[in-house]
Amino acid sequence: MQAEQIKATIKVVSDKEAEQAMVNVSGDWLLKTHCPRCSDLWNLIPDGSSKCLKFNFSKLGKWDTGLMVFLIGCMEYAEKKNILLDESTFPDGVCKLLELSRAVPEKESTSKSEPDGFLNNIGRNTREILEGIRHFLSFTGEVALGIGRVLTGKKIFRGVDFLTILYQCSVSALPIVGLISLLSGLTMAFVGAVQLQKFGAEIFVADLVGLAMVREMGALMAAIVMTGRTGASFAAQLGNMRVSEEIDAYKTMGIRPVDFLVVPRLLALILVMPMLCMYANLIGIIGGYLVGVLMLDMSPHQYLTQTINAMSLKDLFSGEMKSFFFGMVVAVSGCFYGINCGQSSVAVGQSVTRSVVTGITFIIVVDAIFAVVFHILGI
Amino acid sequence: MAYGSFVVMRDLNFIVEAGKVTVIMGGSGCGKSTLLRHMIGLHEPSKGSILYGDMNFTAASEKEQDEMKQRFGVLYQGGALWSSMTLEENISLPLQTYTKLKPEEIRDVVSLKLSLVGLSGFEEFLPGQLSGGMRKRAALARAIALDPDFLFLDEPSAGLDPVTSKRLDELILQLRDTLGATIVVVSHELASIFAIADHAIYLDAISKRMTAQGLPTKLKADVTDSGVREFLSRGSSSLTSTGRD
Repeated sequence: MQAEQIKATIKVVSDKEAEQAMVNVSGDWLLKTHCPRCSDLWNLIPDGSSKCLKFNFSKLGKWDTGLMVFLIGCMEYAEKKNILLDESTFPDGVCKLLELSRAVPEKESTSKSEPDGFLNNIGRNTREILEGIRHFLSFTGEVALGIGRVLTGKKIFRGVDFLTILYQCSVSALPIVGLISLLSGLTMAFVGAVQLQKFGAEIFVADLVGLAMVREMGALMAAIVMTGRTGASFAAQLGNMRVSEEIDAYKTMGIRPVDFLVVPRLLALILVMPMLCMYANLIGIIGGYLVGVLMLDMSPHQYLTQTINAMSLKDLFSGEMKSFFFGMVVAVSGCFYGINCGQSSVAVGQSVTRSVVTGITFIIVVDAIFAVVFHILGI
Repeated sequence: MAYGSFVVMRDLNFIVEAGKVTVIMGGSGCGKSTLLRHMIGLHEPSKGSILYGDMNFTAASEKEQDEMKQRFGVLYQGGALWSSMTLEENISLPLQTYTKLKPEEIRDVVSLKLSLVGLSGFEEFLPGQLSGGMRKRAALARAIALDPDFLFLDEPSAGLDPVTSKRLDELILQLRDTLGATIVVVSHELASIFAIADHAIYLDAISKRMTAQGLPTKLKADVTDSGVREFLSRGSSSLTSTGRD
């Protein structure tokens, strides 16, 4: 059975002539019960009335951190107010714990600093953005040099790693890219059919789906899926390698991490994305075909002929061209954030998020640029 | 040494003798590993330079630094084995990159290095399949794959059982004696320090300076700095027990 606890109290006896106060501490001073606070003590001592403070612990019962917190608070306040605080009567255990807590001085950099002003924040953020741009430019430069070394026939990474990455980016991605493309084709066909039926022009669903997939949606869907899947995986892999010092191990062995880790990933995605785009186009058209043939009563031959007649080679080329650049965007954003990741698991998560957000943003930006360029060129 | 405006250590000036074991010691967080990372070129000192013989490593071009790094073997605190590769591939990579050995010769070297660290037969294991201590030993096997001139070991015996730790100390001494490697070890394991160090430097976290250097046994007997003495006598001169009323 737990013994009954005695309430923690403080009583102050002031000696005005000697300008000192005696604090009688009694009861059980436990963290989980209510203990007087340091401010309660100072409320009992009028400002400037005492220059010395003594403690009497003769009636102190059980104690723990509750008492320590009270005494440390008193000491800090006394120091601030230039009041002499006599520690000689402190219980032995308290003295030992205080000694231990003072053994290592507080680290300068961890002491609380004043919050930055508005201008400081602007300056710091601007500097961080400029630093980020500098990092990115230096990274793309290193990647370009790495690709240059590959083109001149230098072996800068292991063939087996390249093949593994190639497999992960291509064959492993087929199911998800296929599913998303099929659903895109189906959705477009449904939406198109509802509108075109009003004019008795259902046959043009084939044109709509075919052209949309080949010019835009195939490349775009494949790129977005690859950003979430492969770009994020690149960022996580490289980020984890950074946290566990694997990237440092390459550096100290004289092996360039960008050459060994980034270049094969970039080359694999550049190579694979046009093929994935072609695959997405095909599956998307099959989605439209299913709606056309099964729901709009078109014959398979009619649907396919209409699709082939609607498309030209330059439509196909425009989508393929874009997918090449999308591949570059996905690989660079994934690898850049991965290789520049911080040194903690939280930083890995942040890198993955940033790589996906940046990847998708730049895919849309690149797509918009191509739309304008193709419009000007009449493609 | 500094991270931005935060100074880690200042006024560091010491010589690592060729063919000897130099131990960097000091309390946790004093900057031992940071100093090691500066020595292997992962960070640049904010002021001053690091020399290898006559070569100013800090001022050297990237190409010269890369060439120099080929003479380094580094064991990182966490091992830093490449997680997607088996132990054999981890140890083979530097051999494939910097030697013209045939695949079967590389396999022999890998087996030898793994046997030196007591991991014979673990060639096909991935780092994730090993315990922390085994990973560390495998990382040491990779660090010594090319018989480096300079071997940097960051906390080699941390997390190892006493027997394995003792074997590792013996291996370090053998590498020094047989290969003539210059070895720099970051450690705060007293038993290891006394067993392997030809020379030790002590970094003090409070003054942010190197406060002592010399042979550890001599330092323990002669040094006047209380921090070093306390460190080398396992804190026995400080408060050792706490209690409460």
